[in-house]
Amino acid sequence: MGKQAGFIYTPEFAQYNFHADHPFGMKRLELTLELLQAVDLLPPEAIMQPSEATFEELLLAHDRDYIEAVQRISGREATEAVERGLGTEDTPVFPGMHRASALIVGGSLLGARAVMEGEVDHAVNLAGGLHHAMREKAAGFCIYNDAVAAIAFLRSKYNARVAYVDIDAHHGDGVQAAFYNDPNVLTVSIHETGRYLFPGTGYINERGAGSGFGFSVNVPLEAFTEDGSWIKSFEAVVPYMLGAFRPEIIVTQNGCDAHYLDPLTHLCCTTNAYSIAFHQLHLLAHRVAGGRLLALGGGGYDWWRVVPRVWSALWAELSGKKLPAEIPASLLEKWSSRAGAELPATFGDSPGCFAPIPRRTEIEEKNVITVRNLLDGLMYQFAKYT
Amino acid sequence: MQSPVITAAPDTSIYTALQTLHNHNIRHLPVIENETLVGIISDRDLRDASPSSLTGSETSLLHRLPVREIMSSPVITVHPLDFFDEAARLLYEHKIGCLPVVSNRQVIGIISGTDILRHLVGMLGIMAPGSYLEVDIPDRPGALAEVTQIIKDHGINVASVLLCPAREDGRKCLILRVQAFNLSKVLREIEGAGYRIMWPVATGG
Repeated sequence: MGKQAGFIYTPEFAQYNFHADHPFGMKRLELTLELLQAVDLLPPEAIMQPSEATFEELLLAHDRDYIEAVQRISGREATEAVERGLGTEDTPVFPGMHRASALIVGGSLLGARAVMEGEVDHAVNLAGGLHHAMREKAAGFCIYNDAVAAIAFLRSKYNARVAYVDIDAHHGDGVQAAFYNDPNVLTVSIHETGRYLFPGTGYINERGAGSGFGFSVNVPLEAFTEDGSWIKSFEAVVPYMLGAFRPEIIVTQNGCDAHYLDPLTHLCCTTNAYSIAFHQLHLLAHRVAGGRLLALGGGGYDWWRVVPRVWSALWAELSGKKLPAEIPASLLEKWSSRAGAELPATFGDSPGCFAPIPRRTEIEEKNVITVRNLLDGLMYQFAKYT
Repeated sequence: MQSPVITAAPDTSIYTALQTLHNHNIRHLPVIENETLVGIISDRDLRDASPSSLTGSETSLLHRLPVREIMSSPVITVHPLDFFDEAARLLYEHKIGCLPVVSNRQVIGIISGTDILRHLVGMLGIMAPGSYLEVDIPDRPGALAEVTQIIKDHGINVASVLLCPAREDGRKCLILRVQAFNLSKVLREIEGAGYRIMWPVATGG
């Protein structure tokens, strides 16, 4: 058995940069790294250097036409961009975008390989988790879908059964679409309901098609869902599904935009929900998948107050370390002038950190009904198909 | 509208009419005589005429009696050029379940409450993915144009639009589904132009 956990990183990840004002910046990753180093939880030997995914590897997730278009468009304005989902305000064109995106895919492929070859139990690629990119087009900040490429690689190289668990506040639509017909890839996405939020999909009746029917699972939660209801929904679905499916490896997407401070979504979780989810997924990997876990990043748009703390908790969980209670004072001082908001002084949010949600009872009730309706359908399917 | 239409003749037996409804999984039969609409029967008319499942199974009367005896007449109908909302209003006001579509004295189709609902679901854009955006606007010329111009200026595609009266007099509720992830700038500009965003609302921080 190899090392417990590998942290996939290169400073070149920073090239995935739409522009300075764009909410999806790799700055979030650098802040996480800085925080982990400040608390001495990221030894240099844990870091794994990725290389750019090859054209052939990108074909695991995308059409040849699309990749060629990204290569052409890279670095200049082009009218063909819009039909490829590029050149929009969400996903603008930027110089070198093909290479920057391929490097992130390379990172997730490196993680998948390292876990399967036993070099590490768990691999973490926080630059990845670009779950909205589709086979033929970019969407929602995502150009190449590293999660799809990694899962397709795990299927083709190792013939592994893969469970994908996506806890980003947005529906993992690109990954669901890629494996909608595949009974060897289970996708589970827990997110804010598409009634309000991009991409507007991820309802419980999206269950897969053909022989993949029953292997796409969605848990759409109400806006303003808090920790208690989020955790209850997660715990009702994820352990059950993973236990029934028996994957050989778990791939997780760890977007942290369900946090109450996140500016782009309306869920109201705290660091507590994330700590519990990370711990559960870690345990599940050991219980059902021989410990094999590839953890990817994802959304999270409060760069200073949320992302570094939540992703540090993910790394601490998977590398078997314990986070200290407090953020080092020296770092707080360094960051506070640039953050533009008061920074939390502790890794964990304290109870009562935001005003009570007025419709909490109704929201929790609605989530319970959603999960019940979902599970009623699933039990029937699992009785029938496995 | 549904076409072709399954119909009965005035002297079709009630029993046969019941079988027809059952076989086609429908609830209404226009009654046609000499290619002209003379009445209509619903599943409820037919069941009212049938013996209760609890009291007996005497069906000989059903075989003998023609639908002429129980049909409703005259029939409320629509014309092919009538609008969808006119059909919806007629169904609602008369508390009926369907409307034969009549042109040149011939029944050329039929529209039911279910057809109206199916159409409405499509019109509301419920099936179109995107981010949900709700804006309170004044009921005056140009308000809708100003809001959608801001969205256009950001190169964002609108998947569906619904404009309906707001609770307050003189206001309208504009509901859009737009194909964009990050609406922050658009929201700021819409607010900057003096409109109130009803959704999304800010959370937490």
